[in-house]
Amino acid sequence: MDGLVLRKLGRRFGAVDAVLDFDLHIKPGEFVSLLGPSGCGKTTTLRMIAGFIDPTSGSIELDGKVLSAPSGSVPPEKRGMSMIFQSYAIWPNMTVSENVAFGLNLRKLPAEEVRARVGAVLETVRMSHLADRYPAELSGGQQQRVALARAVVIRPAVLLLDEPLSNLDANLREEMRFEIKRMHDEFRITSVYVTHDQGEAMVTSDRIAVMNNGRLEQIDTPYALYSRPKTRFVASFIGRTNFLSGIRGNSMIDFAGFSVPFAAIGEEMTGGGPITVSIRPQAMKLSATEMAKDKTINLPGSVKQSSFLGETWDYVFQSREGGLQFRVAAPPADVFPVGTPAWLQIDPAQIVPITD
Amino acid sequence: MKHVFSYVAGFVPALVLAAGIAGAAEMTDGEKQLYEAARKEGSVTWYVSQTTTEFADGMCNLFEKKYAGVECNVVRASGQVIFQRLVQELQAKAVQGDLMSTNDDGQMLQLKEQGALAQFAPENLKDMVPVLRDMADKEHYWITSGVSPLVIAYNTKLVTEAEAPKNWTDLTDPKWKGQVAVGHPSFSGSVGLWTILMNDLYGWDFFEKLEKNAPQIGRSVADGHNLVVSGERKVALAPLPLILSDAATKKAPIAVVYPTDGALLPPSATGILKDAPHPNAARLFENFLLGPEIAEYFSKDYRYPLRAGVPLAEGMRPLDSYKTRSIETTEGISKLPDIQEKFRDTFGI
Amino acid sequence: MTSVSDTDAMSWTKDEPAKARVPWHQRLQPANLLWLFLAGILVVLIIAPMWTLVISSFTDAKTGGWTLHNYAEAYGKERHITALTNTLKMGAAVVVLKLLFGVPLAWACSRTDMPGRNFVRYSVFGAFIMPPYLAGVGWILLAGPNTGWINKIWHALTGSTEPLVNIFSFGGLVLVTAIGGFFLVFVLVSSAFEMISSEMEDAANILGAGPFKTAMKVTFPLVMPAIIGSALLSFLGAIALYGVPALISIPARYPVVVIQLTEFFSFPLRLEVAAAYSMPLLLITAALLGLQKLILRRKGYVSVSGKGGERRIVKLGKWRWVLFTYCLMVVSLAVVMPFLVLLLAAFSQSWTTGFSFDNFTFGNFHYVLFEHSSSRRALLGSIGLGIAAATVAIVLALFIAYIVQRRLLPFSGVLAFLAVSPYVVPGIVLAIGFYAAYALPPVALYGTYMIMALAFITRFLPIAFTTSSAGVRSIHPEMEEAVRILGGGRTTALRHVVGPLLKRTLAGGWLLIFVPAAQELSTAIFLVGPTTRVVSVVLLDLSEEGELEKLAALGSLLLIIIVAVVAVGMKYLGRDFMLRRS
Repeated sequence: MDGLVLRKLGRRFGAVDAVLDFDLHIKPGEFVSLLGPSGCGKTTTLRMIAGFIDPTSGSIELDGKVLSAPSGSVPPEKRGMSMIFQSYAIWPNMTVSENVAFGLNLRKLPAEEVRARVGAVLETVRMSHLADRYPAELSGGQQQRVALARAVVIRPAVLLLDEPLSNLDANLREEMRFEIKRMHDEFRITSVYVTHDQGEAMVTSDRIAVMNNGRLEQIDTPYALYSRPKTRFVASFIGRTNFLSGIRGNSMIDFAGFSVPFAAIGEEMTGGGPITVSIRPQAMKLSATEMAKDKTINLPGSVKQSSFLGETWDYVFQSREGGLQFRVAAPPADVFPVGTPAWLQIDPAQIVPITD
Repeated sequence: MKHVFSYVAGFVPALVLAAGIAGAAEMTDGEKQLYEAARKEGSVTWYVSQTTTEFADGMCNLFEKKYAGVECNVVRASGQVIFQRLVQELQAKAVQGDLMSTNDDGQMLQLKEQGALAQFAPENLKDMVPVLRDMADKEHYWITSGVSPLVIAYNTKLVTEAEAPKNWTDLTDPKWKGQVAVGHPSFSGSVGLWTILMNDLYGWDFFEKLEKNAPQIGRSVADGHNLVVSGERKVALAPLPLILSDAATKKAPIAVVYPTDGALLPPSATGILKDAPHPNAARLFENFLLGPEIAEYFSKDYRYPLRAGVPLAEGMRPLDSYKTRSIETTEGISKLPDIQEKFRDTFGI
Repeated sequence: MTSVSDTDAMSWTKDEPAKARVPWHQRLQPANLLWLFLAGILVVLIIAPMWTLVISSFTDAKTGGWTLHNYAEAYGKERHITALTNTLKMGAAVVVLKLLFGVPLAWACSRTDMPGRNFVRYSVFGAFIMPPYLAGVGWILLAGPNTGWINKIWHALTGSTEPLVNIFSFGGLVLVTAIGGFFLVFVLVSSAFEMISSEMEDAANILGAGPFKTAMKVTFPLVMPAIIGSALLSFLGAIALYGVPALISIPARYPVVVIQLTEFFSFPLRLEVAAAYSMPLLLITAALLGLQKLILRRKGYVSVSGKGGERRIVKLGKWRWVLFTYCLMVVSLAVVMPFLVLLLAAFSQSWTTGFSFDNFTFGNFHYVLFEHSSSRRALLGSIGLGIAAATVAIVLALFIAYIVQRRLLPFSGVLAFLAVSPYVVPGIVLAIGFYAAYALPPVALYGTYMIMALAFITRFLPIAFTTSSAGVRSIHPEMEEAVRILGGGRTTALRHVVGPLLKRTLAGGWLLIFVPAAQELSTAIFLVGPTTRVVSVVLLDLSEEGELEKLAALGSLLLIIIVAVVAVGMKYLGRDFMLRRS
């Protein structure tokens, strides 16, 4: 199988499974993020891919060749990968160009080619003018660019990124996200990106693998993850959401105070038993009066709390029947003082059944 | 090396000098053979407690001057220390010394009994003072390489001749409290013999009394004279040549008392080790110790020359002109361990 | 690791290759062999000698069988027990004196506006450079009971014939031992003082504590771990020191353990008894280190490393001159006075005559440089051994610290423990262990530089390890991982990244080893061979013959060489390389 394949990958530290039964297939040239809270096993997974940690079960293959297995692993230096570290790990004893040239020199390339490739990559990351500086003389963002250049210049089989932006301030982080995306679009290097920041993952990734407690929760495109989360964890970790509990009837899900037909939700479903759904705050709308009833759900109630976040209002709406509470996002122009009676409209197509 | 030699040359009478050079030029056949063989071995390592480092270095320099191409290494320490080292090497079967010179011929006897010594009768034995020659091993396992009587030294600035002690027991006089210096029988070979002699003459009571005078106890016997010269101590147990040489050549305020109850006369002994790494160089060196150069060197430094007919240094009294005592070799060996232990118990160190 | 989980992992899907294994040649790293090699070296340097020492203490010298007789012989005499109790008494007194010297000086130099702080710092540094036995000789010249300069001046002034001070006494032994090692107290306590932010003291002030209360309740408790630690080291250093007792305790007739050990090492050699007799030193050290751990583990002392924050200087007002006078007194006693008399003696024909033109001579230097049979070789030997021991120890320690810090081996903690364990072995005991293990056949290293080099490396390995370990800890592991993921092995990472980044730290550690190694006496005394004598041993022999002027000349030469090396090092490292370590 082409690309990077993790099969039933597992790593146990003492009695704790840091990673368990992790399956993932990354296609050549694809950019995949491992997203999850700290301690979810994403960094362990990345370091297993790099070869710094040996798996205790399962295997890692690259283009059909086994790299890691519990019986032994190819050491990192023989994997032909490269990595960008959380601390950048720019060697302070070497200049920018020496840092970048290091991997090329290890490959014993001719000096002429090394110079040309270093020059080209520094051009790409817009660091040419600082080629002879030492890292201590660079800002955080500049160091990050050096790390990026150093990692891509060797044209690695796989590029690994371990929370590369976590040490940057907010503005710079935004800028570097796009920088990373741009580099990927330019070189199409198979990339695995570890982050706990969903925004980063969404900007950069073709697909995002959400991890929790050492297991893979869901892997999907950023849009699919947001709009169709499969588990409670994914729904709550990616963006904010409302969870509602209901009971499946014959053709309808019954919630406190209202019901939704199976067909409206757009997912195949059988009757019987409890069910949880996720409704994004953006999937709902507040209005002062009742709206047309055709396909949306209309619930009467009142606004309980409001906070203004700049780009949106964040309201807490309580339904009159059933007393359900919803967080609802509204554009800045839709002003509802606390205590105002209001109507909540829900798009049933955006009601997503999830597993707990 | 050159330095010392010119110093010697300037000092000794011209007549003797001429004889010395003639001796160096005309080697006997046996000497020539030894020299050839020694040159092939390249060096000789000499373990010595008989003299000070400075004096032994001077002897080595003379040897190197005469026998060019044979390096002479001096390893000097106090008698018990150097003996212990040699025993250590014998035990380790890694003998590094070629020959050893000590003031305690008991050590030689012990080595001989262990089978650690080689027999050798140097050519120059024939020219020795007969009395000294006969003090050595009859089977030629060692030779007598010197006699340095242990006597009393006093500081002439601090003590008048009349006040100075006359015999050993005077050292226990309370007037010398805090002013006596002696060596340690566990470190120094000749002090070991002296301790035996005092015990034989006066019983252990002598040391009980001496202890009350709070003597300064050194390790070697060689630092007592320095303590007296500096005035740190007024009287000390010291080897005769060091006192005479300090007084004459350094004009130091030090003088000798020949104890009326007898100076200790420990014959110094030199023997070649059976497993010597450089046996021929060792033989050449032992023969050299009895040769005219060393006799002159001794005489000039207020030591008794080993060769007959070499004049004593000015002011030096012939050996038979004052009372001397010796400890029988076997007696020394048997008594020493006990006496060392008693000394440690009495003096607490 | 098991094949069971292997097959479990592989059987999950049909397109799985039957047996997924990484070829062995791809797994092989030359580094793995190196780690094993290093572990082997530690066994040779530490475990084998110490094991031999313990075993031989239970071995019958004649039959080779098991026996307790050595212990009976070692402890069966009252005199031998006295030496032990004397040693403990002396050690305790030395600790008190070292703290009295070191702590106020450390406080004065790091937290007050006392004048001449740099002068005091450099003088204390001088105490580090000056070997204890040279300071001891200096003090013999100063305070010999009848002709020491102090006593001569006293006699001249008062007409008294009784000595004012006598170096050949318990007090003299304690003083000379203390001045030879209080710099360690100074360094450790200084850095503790520099870690305390003034904010901690301010916090106490604001709650109503006066300056005195603040000092007693906040400042002092915070430096307590450093004081305890340095007191402990001082004690260990004092009881294991050989040179000073050899010079002073024999004439003072105050027997101590190291002197008693030399008795067992004299004829007839009783190596096994010496081994048995050195056990208390080992046990005492181990017990004290355990005690220190116990005390410092209690929570009150944990947060001392809270660095940062501004340090305010305490304004002493007119008291600063009082403090300065005290500091001046301490450094005079420890460094200035003994060094000056040594220098004068080195240029004198007779040190008692005093300094005059007639008495002036270069003869002593001429003698030790050109006439003395072994001093030139000994100088070369000392410097060479210093260089070799420092270099090997640092390189070895770097590799070990690296393994330990990066947890490359499952038992890396054991390696760390081994590397610092020589710390608890007094030099003279270490020498006995090395002698027992390696001097005799089959190894037969007696009389070689090799056995001394090995012993010196072992002796100074803890310093090297502590320095290297701190250095490696300061390098983020990702620095090396970056090398590896780009295709370089661990050795490449060490050569191109870790090594260059640690250059300064390692060079500082190198100097910290070179200086004491070039002067080392305690370890050398039983290991020197006839042609491998080092300066310290030659100096001791000269002292035995009472040739103090020549000794002073040779000692000065040794000091000059060491100072030159340190000066070069300081130029490279900056002047504060050891006085201001954090």
